[in-house]
This record gives sequence, structure tokens and C-alpha cells, in this order.
Amino acid sequence: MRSSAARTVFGCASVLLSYPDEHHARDLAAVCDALGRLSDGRARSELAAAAEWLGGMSPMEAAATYVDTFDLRRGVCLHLTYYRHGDTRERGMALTALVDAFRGAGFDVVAGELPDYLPALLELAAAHPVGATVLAEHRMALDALHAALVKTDGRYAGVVGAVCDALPGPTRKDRQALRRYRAEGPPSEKVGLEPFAPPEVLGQGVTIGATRR
Amino acid sequence: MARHVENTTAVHDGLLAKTGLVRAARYIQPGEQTPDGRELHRRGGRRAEEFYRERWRHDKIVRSTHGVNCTGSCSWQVYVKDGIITWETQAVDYPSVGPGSPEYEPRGCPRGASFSWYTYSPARVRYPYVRGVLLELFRAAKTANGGDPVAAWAEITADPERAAAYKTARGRGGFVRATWAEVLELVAAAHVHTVAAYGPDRTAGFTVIPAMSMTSYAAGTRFYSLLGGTILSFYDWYADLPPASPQVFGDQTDVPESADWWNASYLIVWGTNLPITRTPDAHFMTEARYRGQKVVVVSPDYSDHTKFADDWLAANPGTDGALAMAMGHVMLTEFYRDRQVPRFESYARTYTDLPFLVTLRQHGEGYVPDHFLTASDLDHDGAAGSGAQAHHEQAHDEQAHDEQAQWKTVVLDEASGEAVVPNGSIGFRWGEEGKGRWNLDLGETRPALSCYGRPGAEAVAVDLPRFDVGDQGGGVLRRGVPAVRVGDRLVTTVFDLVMGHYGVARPGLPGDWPAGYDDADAPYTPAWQEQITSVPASAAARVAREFARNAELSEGRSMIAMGAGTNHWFHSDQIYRTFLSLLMLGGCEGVNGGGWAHYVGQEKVRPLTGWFTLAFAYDWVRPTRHMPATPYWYLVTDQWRYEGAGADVLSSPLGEGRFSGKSVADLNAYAVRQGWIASHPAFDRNPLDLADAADASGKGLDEFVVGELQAGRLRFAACDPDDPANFPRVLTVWRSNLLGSSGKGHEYFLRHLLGADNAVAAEECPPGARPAEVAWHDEAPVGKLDLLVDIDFRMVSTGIYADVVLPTATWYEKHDLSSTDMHPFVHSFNPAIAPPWEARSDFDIFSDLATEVSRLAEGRLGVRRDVMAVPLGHDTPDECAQPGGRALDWAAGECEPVPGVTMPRLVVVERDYPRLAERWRALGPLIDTAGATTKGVTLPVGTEVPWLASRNGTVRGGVADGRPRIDRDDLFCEAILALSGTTNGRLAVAGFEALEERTGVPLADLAHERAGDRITFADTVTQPRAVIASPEWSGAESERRRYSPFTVNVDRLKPWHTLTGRQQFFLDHDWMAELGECLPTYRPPLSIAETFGDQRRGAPDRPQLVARYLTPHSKWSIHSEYQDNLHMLNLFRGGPVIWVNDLDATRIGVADNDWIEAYNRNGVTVARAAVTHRVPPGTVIMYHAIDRHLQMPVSETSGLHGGTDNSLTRVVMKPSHMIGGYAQLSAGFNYYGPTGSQRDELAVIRRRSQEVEF
Repeated sequence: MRSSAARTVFGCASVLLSYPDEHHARDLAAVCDALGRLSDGRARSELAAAAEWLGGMSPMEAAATYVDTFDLRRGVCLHLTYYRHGDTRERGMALTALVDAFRGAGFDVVAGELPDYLPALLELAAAHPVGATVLAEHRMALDALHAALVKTDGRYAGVVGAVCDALPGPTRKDRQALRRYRAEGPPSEKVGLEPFAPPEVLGQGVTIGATRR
Repeated sequence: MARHVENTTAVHDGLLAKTGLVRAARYIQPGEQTPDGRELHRRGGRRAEEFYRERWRHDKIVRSTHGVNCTGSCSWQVYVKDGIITWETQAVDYPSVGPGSPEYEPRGCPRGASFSWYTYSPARVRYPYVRGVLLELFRAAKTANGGDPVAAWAEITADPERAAAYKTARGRGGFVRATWAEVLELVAAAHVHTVAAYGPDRTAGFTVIPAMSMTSYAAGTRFYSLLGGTILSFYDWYADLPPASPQVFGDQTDVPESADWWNASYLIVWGTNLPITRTPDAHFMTEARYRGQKVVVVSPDYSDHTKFADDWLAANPGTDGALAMAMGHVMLTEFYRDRQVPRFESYARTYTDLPFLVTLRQHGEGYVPDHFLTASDLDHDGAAGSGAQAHHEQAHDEQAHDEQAQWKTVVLDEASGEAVVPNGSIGFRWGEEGKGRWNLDLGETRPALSCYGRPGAEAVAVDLPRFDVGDQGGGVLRRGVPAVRVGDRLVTTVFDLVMGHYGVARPGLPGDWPAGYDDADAPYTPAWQEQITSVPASAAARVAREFARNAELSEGRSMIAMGAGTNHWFHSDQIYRTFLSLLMLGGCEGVNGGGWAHYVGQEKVRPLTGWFTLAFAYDWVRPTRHMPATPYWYLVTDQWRYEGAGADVLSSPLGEGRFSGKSVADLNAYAVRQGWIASHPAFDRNPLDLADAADASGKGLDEFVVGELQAGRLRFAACDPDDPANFPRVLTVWRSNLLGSSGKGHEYFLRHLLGADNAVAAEECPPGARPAEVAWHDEAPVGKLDLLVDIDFRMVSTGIYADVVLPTATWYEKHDLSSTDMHPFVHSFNPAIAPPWEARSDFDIFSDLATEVSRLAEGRLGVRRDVMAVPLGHDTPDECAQPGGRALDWAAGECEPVPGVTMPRLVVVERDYPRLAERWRALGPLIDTAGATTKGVTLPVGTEVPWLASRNGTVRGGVADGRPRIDRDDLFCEAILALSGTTNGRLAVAGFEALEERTGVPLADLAHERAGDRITFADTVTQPRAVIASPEWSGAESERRRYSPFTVNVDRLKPWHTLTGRQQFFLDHDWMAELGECLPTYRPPLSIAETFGDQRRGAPDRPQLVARYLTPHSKWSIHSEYQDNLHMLNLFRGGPVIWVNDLDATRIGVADNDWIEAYNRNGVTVARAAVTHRVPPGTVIMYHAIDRHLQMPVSETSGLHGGTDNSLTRVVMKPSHMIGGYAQLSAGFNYYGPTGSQRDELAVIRRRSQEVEF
């Protein structure tokens, strides 16, 4: 995909993955306009389908669907560093790295939102080349999010799918990480657990391992 | 090859390469010279260190506290980089507790730490939510009403169809985000409408455990106090409140700090799991063992603390009272009868009610103990005298016309045989003539412990109730006591009654006595208890002997740590009284290293006075609508409609039938009208309108209200909880999880309070078994509540069912204070970051809500007068309202209705609704004139107000012009600290001086060494700060002395806040006698099967286990974290689990990890079985709290989504907890009241289909 087309995908996806607030109708119209600039293809049809699906709901339905999809479940989370780091202390460092990335591109994330929020990263990707690089670094998270959304009723999965398609394919490491995430979920904090049992027990699912999803 | 230089080997190796010499340089090393030529720098080779260095590069380090719902109170340092929390460490700068003791630091535990990254967790509540259907209705109604939100709320709630539309949606999702402006308007409109239409007392706030974050608690209760809303207690509701503490000590949960465990030389851990639930403090227990401390654990299961025990006594669940009674039997036999220990006797005479005289009343062929003999019973011509010789002369005159005479208890002088009225009873506490005499100084009097062997003593047969026989009714024990005559009354001492009751035979006394320790038929011998508890008789006797002998040799350093395992039972007060008796007999209370150590839900707001004053807005309006939560929920969730038996099943066989024909709800209504217990809403009329009506009548308030009540035009709301006029309308829950954690009778909450899907299977009482007095509506209301607001950062069960969920700050995002009874330090919270997303602190949320309510109140509510019915309060003169502990009902014509004496005190206060927010934000003027009072001691607030004005700044303009500001959380914290003795040395000394006037004993010196100290909020930010000894608490503490309760009472002869002024074995209230609980005794768990019948459902051949259902504190889902926190869940199986004994499991075909269902008439829950031999047969354990939406499948039994641990429980109230108006048995917030016990329940367990749906 050409980079200008990719930027359009990122921009539209950012809107579609944002909470449907009072500007939603206007934003959807802007998305439809922008989609006209894309050539036919999966990305365009997925994004258009999502826009149509969202536009077909009443504002209250769209809002409730969004909250139900993204706000109340860990497994469907728009904050990408969670997939790699879970609720562990590594997450704070990962977030500060993203703050740096935004600053390097000359941006700040608005107060109150985290820098790993996917619609924010998509805005960055639409505005600056570094954004796509950052998104690609979170490929595993995007794939995991996509897989989780596929299981829901709506058309959000297609939006994330279109974003993935606009990025370079997953690396071998990404695929490994995704397999691990699928088997075990996000990582658990290990600090302080060392004396809990000998390493050979900890590693073999007799206690800790058996509890993982 | 040896290298003399390190790190730069690569460069080094190349140094000599050009020479062709294959050898690294040995004597020279490379580097870069600095421009000034003074240094040579070598670079590289240290990249590994960079990683660690990076981790420690922060923009700021902020101290905060793991301010969780536990008693840890652990200080942590939070590291922030680029506005993001990146790291945290334990703070290790606690002040030392001095040489000779282990230190407190470091503090913190895995559960607290497991929360830390919740700040950014996707599971966090990030936005304000309203259920979509409600928000649409509200918007539409607002538009239809010309933009009037209050009219909109009135319209929606008045329309049954629209109300049902959003109420039945509760628990079914459909939340949408809302802006703060809109959601606050909705919530404020609901409050304003409710105040106007039904009364402010129809709004309520529920929050818990202030000590963990005092300002966050206070923000909401201050709002409700100014509004006139009902403020619900929590400690009794949790069943963590030990009613035995007020009964015996007249004080609620004053316990030693954990460093004092180190001072104990014998420790019995009895029902509290120290390493699990007191993790940062447990090291004191393990360290004390190296000092020679013996540890005995009493626990039915092989629990985590059992492994620390030198002796493990595995008493059956709920039978601990039997074991303790037998231990008491051994102590009394060996240390009081066979051999006398001088210290024990002198302790008993001075600090307990054992020498006090009790009248005996003829009952059949024998006698029963009746009431304490008081000065009013004495023959004024001769028999009386005064213990304090200085007052001897005036004593006779005094007693002739002493209004307090009925409140002065009597002892027998050992030498003269005369009845003597010693100082210190409650009769000396409030009257003018008691000034300087409310103390335990016995002067020349040596009270006789016993009448045994006294000249003229008669041997009298007494009948005493026993409850170890018969299903619930018990039986009668015939024992004997020595008795003497005082005037025309036959009296004996409490000690003699105790000896008789415990079955310690003395020659010449009538009755049936045990033949010896091995007499299994006679209560309360070691062999007798063995049949009940399964603890070997010899082990019980040995531990009792060791415990007492240690107390003798160490002068009282025997300690019992007790908790939920023994306190969550219906008869927990009796269980605890049997424990406390051991401690009193051993002279252990009020001694460092000795006494009771109650550790469940206990907490300690160290800066108590300042916090209490501000939290309940006593700086503007007094009092507030404090309400014990147990009867509140019992009534509003209609659990009273499902009783299986009348209250008389609890009566003693020697009772007088006071409860016959009455239900528990009837007894509650009785207690309410006697002024014993708070009940809000009080009347079936809006209290604002009631005040207007009283004004209009031209009569005084008392006269008007009494007249209306007697005419039947006005009724107590407790008499008709299902009248829509009496429904709670608006409820705000913050800092707690009412529905998922503490809500006993969870399914009843869902049905009646919320109108949501529920799994209640119980039948309502049939006609004939219904309350006699409380009104019965044929159709029970569902969905009573109009609005449930949940303020939390987690989506717990309460949020799932709430109409509005508001996102709040965590403990790294706000200013607050935290303290605990486990250590003496005051901690601060400080914001490392601003609350992310849309979250706001509890403080800011209530500030904003107050503003919005004030805005909407303008033109709608105005300034109103509000009538409050206030119960007869403990630690106020009202505790001497109803002498003799006699239950006299004015409604039955047994006495006159007199507000403040035979019924609740009536108080009118002014509510200025449009100025509510202005008041909320400023320290009010009432504190200047009325001071600030805790436990009957008024701290004379003076210079503190101008100090706060200059420290915090003052308000300009409005109703609070010139008053100190408290409109920011840090300013609020500053005010709490400034107005408390523990944190302000001047107030500590002044408070002690006030107490000296009353007691006549020196006290102020306890605080002198820190008289000039003032702990400011900035101090607590710098370092945790040790508090100052203060009259707010009963123990002395200093750098040299660990806190232990009642050390001031023991060292300084300051009375306990009880009837006798001493710790009490004997309770002589009529209702105590009716229950057969005048003395500590063993009462088995309630017989659920007897009352409610077989709980099993389904095919008779289906294998099912009926088992005792215990819900102890979880390691994985309560306190520091909730069930949605994966870290701690990872340490066990993750989802809901019920522990089942392996033999039981085999019988019903359950293998480990199978899915099972647990149900009874109250509801159902689903879990995996954890099959283990560590749990005894016949008992299952489900650790609480289990949230119903987390990994909980759909139930086969109910067809609904899962349940919580409390789906199987139900509120059962004990009548004795309703007693009031009588000394220590008087009302107080989180002090005395019915507890929501939950351990007496039975569950049916069966295997279910292993295919589960979520």
C-alpha cells in the first residue's frame, strides 16, 4: 500500500475506533469522504462497512456498543502496551518510550490519555511517518486485538484488520509473541515470586503455569 | 592470561597490535584526556549498568500509601517519568520504635503491590457511565420539562413504566459514557427531588473503613451530613465489629499495635490468620518466637497460620466458645479456687466487675441472678458507705437525693462487710457531684470478691441457662452461690456467679457440680468441651494452665489474637466474651504484651476527633443521621419477610417470654421507639415537613411529635418498611463494594432494593408467622431504589448494578491520610500523577456534586428545618437514660414517652441547601463554641482555628466568610491533623486535662513530652509520623512504649466506659436475661435446618452434601485487590473456588477442580471444587469476596449468571445487639448494633454439568 493510502487508512481507523460522541455523525461523514480517495480493496470495503454499521445505529446504541466492546474487558483493549506487558511494572517504561516517540515527531498526547491508545497512535501514523513504525512495533497487540474483535458481533474487527494490512507483515518474533499471548494472556508480575517455588516448578505449570489461561 | 585492567579489553587488546606482539598491554591503559588536562576518562564497557540507571532516572519521586481496604497502611515511594508512573519501592524511612524491638519497616505486601499497575489497567473505570436507557429517559424528560432536571427526575421516577424500564435493566449492561456535567446534574437532580418529595433521610451514603483514606471517606459523609442524608455504618454490617467489646469494655475495638505482639510471652491465635491478613506485621509474631513466645493456634482447618503454631487445637467451626468456657473452668479451678494468685485477685477487684453485688430473684425453687445492686437500693440509714474515704462523710447525704444513685454499683467491703459504693461507676461520670470521682481508686476499701465463707452467708441454689442441649431452646443448670443480705435484698458477687456458672464446685454450695475435669456430662469441663469441639480435654486443660501460669509469671503478658473465624458467628458476642473472660481472669488487659487483639476489619483513625468532626460536618450542624447498616439493609431489602422463626427461639429457658409472638423486625421496631437504636428514615413523613408542622402547631417539638405518634398520625418508618414513603430513594456507594463483597443476602438486594434478576428461592413467612407489629404488604415491593450511584475505579458487582458509575482516583492520584491500629504512624497519600482519563478523586466528585446540588436547590429547597430522631448515645449523658437495664415500653403504657429518656431524642437542625457547597468547603463556626468531642472527652479547640485560617487561607464572602478553607484535599487533611489530639500535642494535653477534672487522677503528663508537637500534613509527606498519646484512645504510647489498649485505665485508674466503670463479666439488661446471656456462655451456631427445614432441592437420589458454609477472608480477592486482579489469582486457580473435604467430595462424586454448585434458599453460586483434607468434613469454605461477573458461569439451579459468596447468606439479627439507653449498651456509630453475621449458614453442594457457559 502506498504510504499516502496507508495514512488515509490510519486516519479513518482512528475515527472509527474512537468513542462515538456528539461529533460522531460529522466524523463518520469525513471518513466516508476520505475513503473515496482509497482505491478499491479490502481496506476500503472494511472501513466503509464499519462506517456504515456505525452510522446505522442510534447514537445511544453506538455508544453502548462501544462501551460494551472496549471499556469493560481486558481482552479487548485499545491500549496496546497492555498486550505485551499486562499490569506489570514493565508497562510504565513502555509507556514512557511511547511518550518519547510522540515527542520525537513533534507531538504530545492530550492530558488524561495514555500514549499507547490506538486511536492516538493512528492519528500519529496519519500525521507522521514514525507512527507506522510505532504501530508495526506493536504488531502482536494489533493482531491480538483483531482476534478478540473477530469474536464480537460488530464490524470493529475489520477496522483493525485494515490497519494491520496497511503495515508490514508480522515478523517471526511478532508471531511468537502472539502465540505466547494466546496461550498465556498478558504476563504476570514476577517480581518477588522467585522464592515461591524452584525454577523448574515455576516453569512447568505445576503451580503458576497451570493457572494461566 | 592475567589481566590487570578490566572492561576495556577490546581496545586494550588492540593497543600493541601494530607491534606484531600478540599480547595485550599489561602496564598501560588508554583513555581520553579532558580539555583541562586534569583527568583521563575511560569510556565504554558499562552498558549493562545503563539499564539499571535508566530505571532510576525519574522526574520526581512521590510518597504515597497503599491505601487499600486493609489495615496495612504501608508507605511507598512512587517514581514518575514523563508524567507516567514507572516504578515504586517500599518507603524505608519509618521512625524507629526504639532498641529492643523489631522495627516496622519495610512495609507492604504482595497484594498491595499487585494493585500498583491497576492505574493503567484496561479493567479500570475510566469514564462516567450512565445506563443508556436511563440517560435517554432523562434527556427526553428534561427537554419535555423545559430543561428542568429536577422535574425530569420526578417525572421518570413517578411513572411506573419508565421507572421499571431502567430498573429492570440493572445488571444487564448498556452503559454509555456521559460528561461530568450531565451526570452530576442527573445525580444532583435525584437528590434535590428526593429531599423535597420524601425527605433528606431517604438519601443514603455507604462507604467503609475511613482509616484507609480518611479524606475520601469524609468528602462524601460531609456532603450527606449537610444534606441530612442517612450515613450507614460498615463495621457491624461486615460482622467484623465485635459486640463483646462494648459489652465488656464499653469501648469498640481498641487493640494493641503489632509491635506489642513482641511483648507477649504466650500468644493464642484464635480465628485470625495473621500471616495472610496482616502480612506486613506478621514478622512480629515470627520474631517473638525467637524470644521464647509460645504460639497456640485454634483453627478448624489447617490454615496458613497453623504452621506457625507450637500447639494446634482444631476446634470444630463455631464451637470456640465451648473451648474457652472449659479453659475458664480450668483457670478458675486452679488459679482462683485451689490456689489464689495475689495479682489475679487484686486485678479482679480493681479492674473488673467481679466483686460487684448482684441481686438474686426467686424463680421457682431456686434463684436467678437479677440486676446489679445500686446505691439507690441501699438503706440510707446505715448500710451504705463510700469507698473513697475522703468522701465518706458526705456520702449519706448525697445518696439520699442523688439522681445518679441508680447508676452507682455496689461492692461489699471485705473487712467491714458493709455495702460500699466505690468511685468509678457510670453514676460518677456525668453528674456535677461525680467530678473528680470517676476513677477506680478504691481508697481504703478492699472489695470482697466472694461471699463464700462470710459471716451470715447463705448457700443459695441458682438456675442458669445452658445452650449445649436441646436444638435451640437449651436447658437449665442448677448451681449454687453464697449470698448475703443487704437490707432486704439477697445478693451475691459477680465472681460467685461466675464460679457457679463455670461449674467450679466449692464445698457446701447446693446444685449439680462436675465431678472433675473428666466429667463429660457437666458443663463446662474440659471433657465436656471435647464432645463439642473435638479438642482433647487434656489439651484444652494444658493450654488453659499454660496461658494462666504465663500470665501469672509475666504479670499479664498472655495475649489472644482473635478475628473473623470466631467473630462472624451469630453468637460471636458470646464467643468473644468467653475469650475476654480468660484475659480478665489472667489480669492481661491493659498490660503491654497481654490482652485481646481483635484483628478483623478493625481499623483506627488515629486523628479521630478532627476526622470525625469534619467527616460529619459537626463544624456546622450536630448531630448527623448515623445508622447501623445491618437493620437498614435487613428492612430495605425485605429480608425480614423471609424469617423462618419468631425471635423467641433465641430466648433462654429461664426467660420471661419477652420475645414471644414477636419477629426480629418487631424487636427492631421496639428498640427504635425506645431510643435504643438509630433508624433512618425515622418517621413515615418528610422530616422537613414535620418540622414545619410542629412549628405550625404552636406546640413544642417534643410535645407535637409525641402527640402525633400517640394519635397514630405519625409512625416510625421501621414499623412499615414497605410503605413507598419509607423507601430509600437514592444511594451512593463509594470506596466499597456493597453488592459484591459485604451484601449479606445479596439476592434479596437484587430483588427488593434493585428490582433486578435474582435467585431467591425462599418462601415468605406464612400468615401467622409474620411480624405482629411491623406492617405486612401482601405484595412485596421490588426496585425500591430510584438511583444507585457507584464511585469506584473498578467495575465490581456494585457498579454492574448501579445506574451511574463514576470513575475515581486511586491512591497514587490524590492527597489523603491513612492510619491503622497495627502501627502508630500517620501516613499521607500524594498524587504522583493527576487522575488519568476522566477520573476525579472522591473529594473532587463530592465537591462538584455539592456545587450542583446547591445550584439546583436554589428556588427549590431553600433553607429548611429538619427533625432528627437521635438514639440515646453512648459516651453522652443519655447513656444514663434507662436505669436498671429495664425494658419498659411507652407504647404499651409501661412508662411515659419522653424524648431523650424513654424514646429517641428529637433535635431540629437548619439545612441551608443553596449554601450546602459553601458550607462543605469551609471549616464551620460551631467548632469554635462547641469544641470537638470524642468518647465523651471534649477537646477545647481554640488557637487551632486561627492557625488553620493562616495555614489554609480563608473563604471570602458568602456564608463562610473568613472561615478556614478546606476545599482542597490537602487542606482538608491539614484540618484533620490540626483538630486531633494524636496529631496536635496541645489538644492532647488539653483533652487529658479535661478528663483529669472528671476523673481526679493525673493524666496530662502522658502527653507532656510532646505538648508542643504538631504533626502537619507536610510532615506526613516527609515521613510517616508517630502519633501522640491522647485521650482519644485508651492506651499510653511513646517512643519507649508500644500501644496497648487500656493501659491508661490500668496504670492511672481511669474507668472503662461501662456501667460499673470496670470490665464486665455480668450484663444485667432485661433483654440479656431474656437471651440467657447475662454471663459469658457457650451458644452453638444457629440451627438452620431446624428453622428453615431441609435445604435440598431436586431428585432425592442425587448426591448432595449439606455443609456448614464458611466465608473467610480471601487471599486472592479482597482488601488489597479484588477478584479482577490477575496477579493474586494466579497464585491459586483463578476463578471462584469452594474448598471441600476429600471424604465429603468422594461421597457426592466430586473430584478436584470439578464444577459444582452451592445453593440454599437464599440463592446459588457456581465454583470449582478444591478438594482437600485440610478442611474438616461437613464444612465447606468459599473465601470472600467473589464478584458475580468474573469468571462465573451460568447456574444450572437458577438459570442465571452465577452468584457471589453472599448469594447464600442472609442477615440474621440478634436482639441483644439492639439494646440501648443503658450505659455501655447504648447506641454509637460502628460502636454497638446488630452485626450481619454470616457463618451459621448451611449450603448444599452438588456436582454440576462440566459444560459451563459464561
